[in-house]
Amino acid sequence: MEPGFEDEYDLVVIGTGLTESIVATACSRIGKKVLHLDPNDYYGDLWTSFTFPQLDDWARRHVQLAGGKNLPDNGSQHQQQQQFQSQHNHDQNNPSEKVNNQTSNIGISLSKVNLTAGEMVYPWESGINLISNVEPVSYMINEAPEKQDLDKATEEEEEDVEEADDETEPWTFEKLSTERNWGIDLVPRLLYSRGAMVNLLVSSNICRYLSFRSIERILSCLPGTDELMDVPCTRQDIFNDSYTSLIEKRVLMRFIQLCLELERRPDLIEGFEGFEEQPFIEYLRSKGFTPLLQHLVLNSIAMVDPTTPTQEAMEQLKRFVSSSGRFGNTPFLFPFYGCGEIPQAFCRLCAVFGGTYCLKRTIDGVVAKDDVINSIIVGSQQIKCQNLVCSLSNVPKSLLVPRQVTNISRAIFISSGSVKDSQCAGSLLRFPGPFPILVVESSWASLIAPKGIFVIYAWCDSFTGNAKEDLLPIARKLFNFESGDEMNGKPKLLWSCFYNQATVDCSSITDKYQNLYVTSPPVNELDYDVAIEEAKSIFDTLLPDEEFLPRAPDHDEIVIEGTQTNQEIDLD
Amino acid sequence: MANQRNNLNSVSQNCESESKEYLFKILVIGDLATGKTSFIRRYVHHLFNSHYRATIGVDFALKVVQWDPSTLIRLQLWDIAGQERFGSMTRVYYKDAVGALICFDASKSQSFEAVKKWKEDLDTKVTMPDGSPIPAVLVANKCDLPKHENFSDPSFLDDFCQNNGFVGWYFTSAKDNINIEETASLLISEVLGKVRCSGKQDMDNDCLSIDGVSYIDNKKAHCACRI
Repeated sequence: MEPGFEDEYDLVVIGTGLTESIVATACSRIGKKVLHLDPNDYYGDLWTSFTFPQLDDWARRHVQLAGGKNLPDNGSQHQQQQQFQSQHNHDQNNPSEKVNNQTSNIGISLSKVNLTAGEMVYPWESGINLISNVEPVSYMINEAPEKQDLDKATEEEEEDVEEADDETEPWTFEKLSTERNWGIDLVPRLLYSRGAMVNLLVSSNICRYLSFRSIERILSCLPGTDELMDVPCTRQDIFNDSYTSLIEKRVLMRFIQLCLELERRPDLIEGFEGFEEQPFIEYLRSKGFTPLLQHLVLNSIAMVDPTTPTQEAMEQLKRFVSSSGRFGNTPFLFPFYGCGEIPQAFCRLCAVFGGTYCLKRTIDGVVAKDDVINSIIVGSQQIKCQNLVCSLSNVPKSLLVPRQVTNISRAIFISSGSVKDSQCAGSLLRFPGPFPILVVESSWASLIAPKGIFVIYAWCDSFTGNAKEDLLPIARKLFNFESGDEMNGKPKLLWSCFYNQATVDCSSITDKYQNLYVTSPPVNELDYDVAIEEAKSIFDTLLPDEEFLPRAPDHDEIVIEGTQTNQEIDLD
Repeated sequence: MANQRNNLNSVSQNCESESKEYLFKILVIGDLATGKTSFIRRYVHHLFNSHYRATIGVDFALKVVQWDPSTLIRLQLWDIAGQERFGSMTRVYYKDAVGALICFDASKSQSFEAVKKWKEDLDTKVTMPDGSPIPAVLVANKCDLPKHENFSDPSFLDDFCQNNGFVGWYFTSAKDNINIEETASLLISEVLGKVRCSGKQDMDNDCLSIDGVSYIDNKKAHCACRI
């Protein structure tokens, strides 16, 4: 017999995406009783890290959901911003991916519900699908060779096995699928080493569950070419760089110095030499930055547009510089095993502080009186709860008010080589433009792929409405699509998947229930500032007088009830 | 900042005394009410209390074992955080574990049925650095109560262990303190055997730690950071 849930919780959370997980953990941490469910059989919702077979399944499932085809929108100019209604019309005809086999029992369980005067039962339908235009493609050959050939091949291989180098054995779909060490992110991120997420992980002591690797280089695509150069980020790099002239080196060095100065004296930013409201590019020109330097500072270091006001750009630069040199060459960290570890680290702490976890479960209905949800129904159980937090995709569409939707185009590329020089240490690359494209390369060195495999992510705000149309041009710059010859030193692509992910600001997206809080899907950002901000704001509304994620004590700081002397502490 | 997992599973070598120190993460898993927490409490704190309440805020219990004069072992015993009881454990729980105790209640047949599922789940979620399964000992707990007839013939559990990749099993009682130490010792010796073996490999790669950071034989992996 499966154990049941308890009859009452302070907070019920549906979805184990990052924002919901932070809220759940923050509440559990200060002693609230939390029940945390997810209809999926994995943690993290869109914030998860998949194995390759999981990712392939996920992609195929979404292709199926969309009716088996992935035709781009009829070529008409697509608006970047759409309304929910138009965006998700097709959902109605398709079963949601989150259909729970319990839904069919809802009639039975709802009839058993205990109601007090004025209470009503409402079924909880599954929510909207945020993923569209999914297009997985495998570029690997001999996926299903004839059995005879296979046998023959194995025999031959066995003879050669001594000499055969791992590198030369071609990757096949089969081979990728049987590897276990994967952590491919649907929503990849980097962490500024002094950014909001790192600060939160350290202050809450959730960092004890995670380890990171620094991103070792920032690349830049030289304008008008496919050539990638290493962006010099440190004094040493600038000194050794072969692209910049001696004068350029001096200008850049002085500029980095100034940025460092800004960190110590933030007052300098205000009234920045009279340029504060002027476009940043004007400021750079006035300081004698050559086109190459302008390109590097704008696109790779500040990561802003040329028209960004100087003051705002300087804030971005400050962020970059203050995170530099803490762990590695660049200001950025990437989690070992993938970004999906981060929501799980929060969930683990939530559980350690008494939170109850159950995957493959969601709510089937709610019992409400007027605009207050009094209890939820899970299977045959009615559970009282004071507040309900749901990720957008777990809220019935009927409860949502129309909102502007932003569509993010995303791509995952799996390759047997790095985009440059086969260095496995992690890279960040930004393609400028009206819709800048971010590219993050990770590899087996971060334990997210089998040895020899690189995973490259790209994303941007969608401008055509279709991820493939948005991102294919840069994919062509980075990869060799033709099989066979390794032209231009570009790595060979093994597998790719394009997809669009919708996002929307979910603050007050529903006004039906006053104790229902909806968390937003991932937005287009590099670090986690928006998600943390949102989680904190929900927590502050729920529990205005409580501390948000105070530091969790380490093992040796806890005295276990009933023990006199802990010998382990003495030995420490 | 201090991080107790910094040298998890690592070997600190002191050349002068030739003494070695290990840190092992051990998972204690099994169905609800099979005595996992009681086992840990008995082994680590020498306590038994039938009305045990989950300790809030604790990831693991630490036991320091002087294995032999030159080997000190810090055992981290990771309980299923009480409430991940629906089998929904995070990867964080499994990560870097080098051994497991899988518990069932020997007075009932029910929790034994889940043992296979726990073992399979364990093997898919974590392996030794070389890809082999982590050593697991089967714990037939609550042997102070009358045993279920299925377990009266010890060869049944012997065969079961053989067929399902357990390194061995014990009838245990956390209540009466039966075979608790023995169970732990069996697991430690198995883990030590595996780790010493792979420890040699790591030396070849000029790499002293065998935690998650260096699961790959890449020297650059040393630049892993903990924040």
